[in-house]
Amino acid sequence: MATTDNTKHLPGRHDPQHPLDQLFAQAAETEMSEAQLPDVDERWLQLEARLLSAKAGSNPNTATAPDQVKATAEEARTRVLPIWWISIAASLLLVVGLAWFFRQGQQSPEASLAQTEAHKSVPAPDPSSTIKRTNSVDQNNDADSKVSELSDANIQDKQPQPDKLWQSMAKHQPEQPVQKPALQALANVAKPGPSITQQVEDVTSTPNTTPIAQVQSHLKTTEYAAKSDDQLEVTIEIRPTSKRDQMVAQLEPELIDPDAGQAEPDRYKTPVRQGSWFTRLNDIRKGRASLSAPSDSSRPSLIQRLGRQ
Amino acid sequence: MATAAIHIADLITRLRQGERTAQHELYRLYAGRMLTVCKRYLGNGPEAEDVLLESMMLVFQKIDQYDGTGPLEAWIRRLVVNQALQVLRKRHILYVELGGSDDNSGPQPITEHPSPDSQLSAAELMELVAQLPDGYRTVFNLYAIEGYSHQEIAEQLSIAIGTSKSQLNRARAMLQSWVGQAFYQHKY
Repeated sequence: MATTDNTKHLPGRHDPQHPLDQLFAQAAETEMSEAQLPDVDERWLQLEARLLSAKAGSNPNTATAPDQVKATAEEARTRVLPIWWISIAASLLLVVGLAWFFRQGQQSPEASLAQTEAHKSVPAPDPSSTIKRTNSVDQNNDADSKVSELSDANIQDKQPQPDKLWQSMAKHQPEQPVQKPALQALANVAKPGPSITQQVEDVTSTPNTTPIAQVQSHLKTTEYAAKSDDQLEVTIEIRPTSKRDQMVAQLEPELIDPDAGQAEPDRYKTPVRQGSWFTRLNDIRKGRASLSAPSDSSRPSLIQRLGRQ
Repeated sequence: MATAAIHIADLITRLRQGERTAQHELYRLYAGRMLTVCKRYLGNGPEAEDVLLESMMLVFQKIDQYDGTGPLEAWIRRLVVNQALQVLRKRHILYVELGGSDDNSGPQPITEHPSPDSQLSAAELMELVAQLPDGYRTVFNLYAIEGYSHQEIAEQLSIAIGTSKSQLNRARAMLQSWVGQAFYQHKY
């Protein structure tokens, strides 16, 4: 062995001078030269484990070597595992996000518009009827199925279809407001109104609803003849009151007021006023009223008019 | 001897390259001797083996600091002794200072008695050293066996130089007494 020269002290160390020191120094060197380490390979394994642990970065003095190695491996595994999980989760999220993005990008605008149209065309349920409500639910189901059909059709047919687009857009054009007075005028033109004769007949047959004062303006002549003590015969001849009415009468049955756009017969539908001409005539006939001159001096009284005739 | 020197030089080169086989070889070469050194300072407890392992690891780590001016074993031995002294410092050994710091004071030289080395083996003598108190044993090992001066011992153990001398004299007196008793027991 190459240990003979290595037993000397390092430079600077003194050799023992005292006899007792020399005695024990020799004894120590002899003991060292004879020393044999038992289980040297087993102890080397322990030292090697400590060296590996120290190389891994852990403190070799805190635990025995195999345990330390095992703990270091476990610690490294627990450190690495969350990183793997996070990376896998991030990759999955990225794939899902890209798939959604491309799906949105491939969906054509007309498909979206058709879907919106189908949803809007679903009729609202009528709350008044249960049957109707059921029907409306069915209609909703039908509408949903229609929507799904449309969606499927649009998904299957990716090519843009301008005609369908235009039709769906045309459906959505806002309705033009109806000119109600014009429509009413058209309806009145198409519908023939009652003649003046008919109107007068209506007036005479239903005195309670006839505007006598207005009828008076149409009277051409009025003849009164006493048939008996309690009966008075009145003969009335109708004449047009104005040139316009004359023309209208000639153009019967079209009685249209072009200025107001209203049919002329509405004028005769006003209720009967009390104290009218018929009332007074009846009162005179029954003796409840005298034939004295009326308070209105501008108008000729009935006696005056009768006397004139 | 030249072959041995070549072998040690090659071993040092391989150690510096971090070869595991070289470390194993160094361990097989010096572990037994260094365990003896550890036991001389720390006794026959598990602390000695722990200090051996730590010292060998330190050797592998600091092999680049070995400049080749002295024997490799002496350099390793110094590292082992330093590690053992660190453990001893943790024990808080009380170094009782005696009166007088002269190396010549104390018991009479053992040369007045018949030489006991012919009757006592090296192991028996070292067993006597192991029975010394911790302070006496530490200073005696450092001064008589390792060749440290009192100043170095004082610095290593953080004690006064006089304390180191007195501890040495007390250790010698005790060992002389024990050796004499053993001599007379063997002789008569």
